[in-house]
Amino acid sequence: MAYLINCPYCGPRTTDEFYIKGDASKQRPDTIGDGTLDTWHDYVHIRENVRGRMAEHWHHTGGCRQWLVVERDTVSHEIYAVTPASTWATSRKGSSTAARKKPARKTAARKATGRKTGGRAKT
Amino acid sequence: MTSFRFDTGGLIDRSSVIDFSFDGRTLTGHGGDTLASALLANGQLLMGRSFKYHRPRSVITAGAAEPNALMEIGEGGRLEPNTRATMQEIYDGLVAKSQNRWPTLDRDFGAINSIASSLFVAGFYYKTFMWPKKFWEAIYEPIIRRAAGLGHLSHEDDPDRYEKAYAHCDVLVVGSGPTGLMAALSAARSGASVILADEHASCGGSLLREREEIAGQPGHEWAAGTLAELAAMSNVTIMARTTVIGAYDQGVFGALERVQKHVAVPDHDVPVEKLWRIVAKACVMATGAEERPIVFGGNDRPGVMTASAMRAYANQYAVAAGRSACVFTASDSGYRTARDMKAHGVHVEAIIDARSDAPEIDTDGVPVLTGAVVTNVDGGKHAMKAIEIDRGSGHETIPCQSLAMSGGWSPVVHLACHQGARPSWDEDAYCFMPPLNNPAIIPAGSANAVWSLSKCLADGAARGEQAAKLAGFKTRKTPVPKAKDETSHTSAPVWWVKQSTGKPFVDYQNDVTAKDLPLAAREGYDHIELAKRYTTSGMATDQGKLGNVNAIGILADATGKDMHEIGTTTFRPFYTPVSFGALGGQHVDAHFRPVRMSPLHNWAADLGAEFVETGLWYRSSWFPRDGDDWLAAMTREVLNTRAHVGLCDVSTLGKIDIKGKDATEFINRLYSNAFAKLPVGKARYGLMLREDGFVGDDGTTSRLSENHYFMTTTTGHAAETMRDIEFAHQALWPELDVQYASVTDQWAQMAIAGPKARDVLAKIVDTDLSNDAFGFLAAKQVRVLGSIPAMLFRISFSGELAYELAVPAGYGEAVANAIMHAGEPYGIGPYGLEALSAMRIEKGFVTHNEINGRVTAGDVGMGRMLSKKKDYIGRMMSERDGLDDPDREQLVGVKPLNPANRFRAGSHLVNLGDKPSLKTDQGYVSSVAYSPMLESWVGLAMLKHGRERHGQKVMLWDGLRDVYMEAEVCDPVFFDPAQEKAHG
Amino acid sequence: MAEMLTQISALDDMIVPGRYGRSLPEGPGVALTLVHPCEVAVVIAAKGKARALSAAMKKDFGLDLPGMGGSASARGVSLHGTAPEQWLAVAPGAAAGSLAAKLEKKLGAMAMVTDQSHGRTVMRLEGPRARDVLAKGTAVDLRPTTFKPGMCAATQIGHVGVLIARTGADSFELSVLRSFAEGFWQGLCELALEWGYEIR
Repeated sequence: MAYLINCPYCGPRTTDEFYIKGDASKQRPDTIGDGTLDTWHDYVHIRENVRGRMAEHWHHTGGCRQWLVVERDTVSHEIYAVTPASTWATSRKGSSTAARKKPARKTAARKATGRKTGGRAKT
Repeated sequence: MTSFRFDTGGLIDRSSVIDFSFDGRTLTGHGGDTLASALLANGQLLMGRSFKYHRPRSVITAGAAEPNALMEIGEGGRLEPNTRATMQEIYDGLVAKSQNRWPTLDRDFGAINSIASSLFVAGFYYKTFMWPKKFWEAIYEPIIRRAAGLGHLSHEDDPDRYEKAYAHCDVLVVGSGPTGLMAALSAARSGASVILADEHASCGGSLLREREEIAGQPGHEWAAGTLAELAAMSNVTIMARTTVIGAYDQGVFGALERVQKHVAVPDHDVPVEKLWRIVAKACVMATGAEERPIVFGGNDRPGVMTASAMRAYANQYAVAAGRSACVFTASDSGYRTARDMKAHGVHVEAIIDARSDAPEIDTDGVPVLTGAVVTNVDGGKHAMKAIEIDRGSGHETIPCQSLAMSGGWSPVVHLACHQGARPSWDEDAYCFMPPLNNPAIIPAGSANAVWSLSKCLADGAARGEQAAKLAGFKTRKTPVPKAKDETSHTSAPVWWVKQSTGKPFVDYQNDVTAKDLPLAAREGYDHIELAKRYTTSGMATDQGKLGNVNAIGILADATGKDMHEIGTTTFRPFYTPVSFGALGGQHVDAHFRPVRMSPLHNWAADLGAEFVETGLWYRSSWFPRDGDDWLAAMTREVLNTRAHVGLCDVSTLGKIDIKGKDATEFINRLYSNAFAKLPVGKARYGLMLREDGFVGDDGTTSRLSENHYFMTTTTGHAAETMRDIEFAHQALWPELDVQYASVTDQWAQMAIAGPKARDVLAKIVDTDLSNDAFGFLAAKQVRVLGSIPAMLFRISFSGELAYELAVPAGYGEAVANAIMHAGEPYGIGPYGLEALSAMRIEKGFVTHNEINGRVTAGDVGMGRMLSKKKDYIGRMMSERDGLDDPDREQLVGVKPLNPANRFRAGSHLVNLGDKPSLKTDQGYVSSVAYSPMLESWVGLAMLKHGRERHGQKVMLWDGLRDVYMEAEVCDPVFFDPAQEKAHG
Repeated sequence: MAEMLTQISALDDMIVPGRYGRSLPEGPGVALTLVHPCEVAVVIAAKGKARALSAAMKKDFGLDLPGMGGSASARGVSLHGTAPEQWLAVAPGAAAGSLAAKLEKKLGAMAMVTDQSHGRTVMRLEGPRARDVLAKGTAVDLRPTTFKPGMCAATQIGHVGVLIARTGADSFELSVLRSFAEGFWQGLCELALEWGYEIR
């Protein structure tokens, strides 16, 4: 587990100031528009067990109380980027429905893993 | 009794005499002594018994890796077991006890294990105690527990304080030997802020233990001068007695500072230990190297120790294990020990060098036997007598009282490995090298297999510069002082003297011998991680600091693999053991977790309230009078409220102020029921779902003006609901113009309930409270007591004519007192959480007992509250088929046939005649209360097809208490189903 | 009757002035003071109104709207940037309810203003060991080179949310939620024991 998260508003803080919600790759379907039970099922229940780079929603509960998207490596614990969730949401609302249905960055994840000298059994 | 103190020399303070006790005997030592050196000075060579065979043991090392000399230190609540005598400073009144022996260290009954040792090979427990099965718990395990053990834990509370703290620096230097000192100096001169940490009481590392010179000065004097220079720099913090115990992600290091573990009576205002989290941009790992023992027969006998330890005891502490010594070496270190011991007047009989091609090294006249090995050690508990050697032509005996051994050096690589990387075997340096995958952790000096003093000084300076550069500082070359050096040679290690006639130990602490590892390999446990667990080599509290590399060598030998193929086991924090006290830090007792106090706490306390912890809050639970119990008090409070009027503290409810152009739209998306048309001046009950369609939370929201709302949430879910609201805005709908702030702590909120509530309130509120002007679910900003701004809501959680009044928290007590005063003629009384709960159960109102995360709106009879006309959190998933399955459990009331029969929440419901089972289970009881109005115990329950079953009889089954009770299913609203009272 | 009411602080019966903890020759390491009464308000800019808010704040209150993690003070009012486009306004000793009302009156059209004068407990921690005391609770780098006077940080100490504002080389203003204040104050006192502390 990462020890410090560099909050874009507050600077580096220990992870115990944060609450983790999980996978941020899914986008909430629009109930009135394109939402079907299938797309909703995917949004609510289906998660990749990512080994490597992953985007997650974290809430800086002990600081600015902003929701953030933390892109981190589940193997090396490296943190690649921390983005305000509002920015993340706004930028993705423009993207097409087809693009957003793609599973969560599988290729990137594999690549990031291959680079490592060796996994760890546990931390 | 061969060990002794030299008449002169050492870095101890002979003018300070310190009394301490060991196993009840009073001994003396000097300032600067460790417990180990002081014991040696007192002739106490025997320091402990081994774990499995109870063999007599003395010190092997003079540092953190010590596997043998583990002691219980202190008494009562301060007792600390498994303390390494090599790291414990002595102080006046120190009480030390040896461990793992019975009845005494000298006469240890468990030593019989040693005679039966052929039984106790690796895997012995797994094989021997397999059957009969029930014997394990009853017989084998207790016996083993008693026989094999370390120190005892105290059963008393630890009276001392522990704390945690953070520190920040540009460069962390771990270890203050020649490398660390130069690294700190060069980094600090660049302007970088530097923390220099060393696990020992005195900084200087090997410079305190060797007789080497730097810049024409004795090493320890140069170290003192350099430390003084560092201490004078404002950007340098020197932390002695501080072990860096772990390297974590993003440049965070854990460090344990033993602040007061070296004083007799700790100052209670000061923590005894501090657990530091040090955030550093770069770290110079100047952790040095550990000297490897050699695995030969009797290598655990008191009097045998590593060559560097023997030097350290002689040079730093002026003690020796015996008046004569031999050296068994496969490295140059043994030669240095021979010379140093000779200089201290110890008679050195011979250097036994396992290498047949041993280099020519100055021995100061001590004879060298090359290509020879030690095969056994003859000695008892208190003295070594002789060693048995083999020069290829049979065994010979050399009498001596002590033996130094050196199997080569292993860099202390732990910190570089804590993030998962493993060290790699270097065929030239014959050691495992630290991994370099984290550029911010920079191994330096002998931790990076740089062996000579002058090279360590230069490497330290260069690595310090490297670290400072990494931290963003401009550096200049730091001049490196000259040191007198000897050339150093590296030679292939000797893993195991196979011709040993005595027991050759690999892991001293767990009594693993050289034979155990090939056995593990033969039985299929040849992977190093498996061999470790099968033999327990490296699994003791020292985590194999001394033995692991030898174990890997022996396993490589046994399997025909090379060292690289075998590899190491995983390095995990902590480097050395850490007390639970330090890990808990200041978060104990009252500070175990935060406590929240209601602004009406003192009001309730003054009325004699009993409090209950709900989440972090302390809530007034009931108000005993004349010594009555909770049931009597609750009954009185309910009856009084329903007959007259009551006042209850509901300040703990979550409260959120919401404003903005899109506030209405936002709230409409949060709740499942319609809020768009809520009129100004009205409150509405609202249901929040989770995105999966199940009920998340409930509460009321009042529209105070066009774009201004006041929302309340449940007490228990206030934090979660706030976070969910923030998620909905920031992550889902950032385009909405809405602002919100938690105002939970700003307002003291009280419920005034009962037929006389209006009359009481009218006396302090400046507004018309008639039904026409302020009807059910009205909400309004008002003034109380003339000028206090307040919010008034006509909300009832009791079923009575009721109001909730919110006033600024700092006025809460005064307003509550004013209400009590105004209510006196009407018979007002306070009521607590118990009465509140009983009244809501009488009314069938749900709380998180019912909306527990797996019920739907339909389950609790609120299916109508799922709007079909809008999008809201959870809408789509709430429409899944399974969520309105008629077979689901539905909210009902239950009454035992005998009203006096108390039953419990959590009881299950089964049909009459059925045995309770998963198959026959019909549901469960979610809430229970004694209803003063019905004069019966009543409950709310979730029951399959519940709404169709009112009037039926079911069986209540309380599995914990094994109670069966017949009960009748009924409507969940037990009292005033027509809601006449609330609307009155 | 109303005029007679005084605002009771969350630490009402806890403030006993005096010296506590270790007695060192250099004097107490920190002094702890409750700031009460103290007007506090949360100000959150409406969507797209931050610029207008900034201008109004300057014009009506003489305050340069600070960014996240920054503080500004003028005419007895301090503003701390606690979250994006969100500030905590603090005015020690102001008359009850006046700060939020004033802010609301001038800024209500471009921001949400919420009174927190009763919801927050404000205290001052000052002295040569003030930073060391706080470092036992928070990982925020409080070294004077990185956390200068005029900066603030919303963080946690002992799992309690706290806004730390540096008001001087050795002085900090802390504000916590009222319900946590009692435990927070006691915890802070314990962390100061080793250098001794004074309650003023």
